[in-house]
Amino acid sequence: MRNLQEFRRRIRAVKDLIQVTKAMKTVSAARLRRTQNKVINYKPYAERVRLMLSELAYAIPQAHRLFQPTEEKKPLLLVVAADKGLCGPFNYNVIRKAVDFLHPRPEALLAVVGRKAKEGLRRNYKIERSIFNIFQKLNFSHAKEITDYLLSGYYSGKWDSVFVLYTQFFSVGRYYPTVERFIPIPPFEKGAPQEFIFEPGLREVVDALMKHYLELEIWRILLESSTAEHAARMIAMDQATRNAQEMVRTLTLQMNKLRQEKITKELLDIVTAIEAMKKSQI
Amino acid sequence: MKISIITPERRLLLDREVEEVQVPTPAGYIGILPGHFPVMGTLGVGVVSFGEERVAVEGGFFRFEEEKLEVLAKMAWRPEELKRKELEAEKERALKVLRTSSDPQEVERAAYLFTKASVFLTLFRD
Repeated sequence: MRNLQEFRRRIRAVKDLIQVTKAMKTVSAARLRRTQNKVINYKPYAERVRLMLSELAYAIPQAHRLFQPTEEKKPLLLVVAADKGLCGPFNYNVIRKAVDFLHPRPEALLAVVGRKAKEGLRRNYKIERSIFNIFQKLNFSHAKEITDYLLSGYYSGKWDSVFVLYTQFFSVGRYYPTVERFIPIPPFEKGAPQEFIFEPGLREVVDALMKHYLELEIWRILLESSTAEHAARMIAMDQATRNAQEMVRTLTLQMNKLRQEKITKELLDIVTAIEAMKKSQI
Repeated sequence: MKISIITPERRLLLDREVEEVQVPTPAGYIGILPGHFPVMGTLGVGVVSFGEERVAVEGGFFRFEEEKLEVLAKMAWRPEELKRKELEAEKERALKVLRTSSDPQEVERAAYLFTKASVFLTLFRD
């Protein structure tokens, strides 16, 4: 970079970039808040469902298929990542963990949520099903659809267990990819049975509740992953903004130095010229 | 008696004092009055009504005990959140599938969507 104009152009470009990263950070922060609100509302609801399940645990047969430990010879792994990038190592961490899981289990099947999960895994693994673009407008029907899919393959024998890999969210700075067994589930704790009339019948209520419990688990997983994604993007954009600001600072310094040099040189030229004129007048 | 309506996504109302509630089950509506025997059941697609108020729900559970009715709806809408035009279009679409399709799965899905749109449209009748 030799001339001042080039410096000015570059500084302007970096400043424009700062506008973009700052805007993206603000958007992520707003989305993070919105998702966190959903988590807050999810909790009391899930507690009520768990209470109902414990009240009805006496009526759930121990031999229920969802409880039976299997050999996990044909597990299905559901990988949950983001649809978009620019969120630091968020997607990469999930994909690396997926490879860790799949590598020692060549018989495992794979399904993915999020475009980035597919992009990261499709080269080396066959993907049974990909689900895209749900995080933009996440609602409970997405959790229902995914649960239906996972259960249908389990009941038809296509897979004998389901594991879910997603990013568990603890706080804005703490979220880690983790693998959890989704099916089979451990039996529910038995609470005090109450006397109820059941509509339409005990059997139907119990079956529907157990399925709903699984839907809620998927809903929680989608929410946590989405929260972590927004947090990761917010941090990545904050870092990018800071790096760009540092760049503006360095460039401005270099530009000023160059300008000063130029001024000094011009002054020197003038002074030399004056001196020369003085001498020639004598 | 009191009623609460919550979904996994939000709280619609909490401990509202009411005199009588109509709850949609898959087999039809049941009415719950104060002093009702404890009852637990599944929600169908329909409208929960109490006093002048209406809330559209789709799937979930209800539980009445100790003069408290908890409606745990998988999805729920206040009438003002539903759009009449969209529901009418949805109803038309479902009807078209019902008339033309012969795929049993498609027909079942369309029949469900038709019922859902029709039931929610009753909210707009004056």
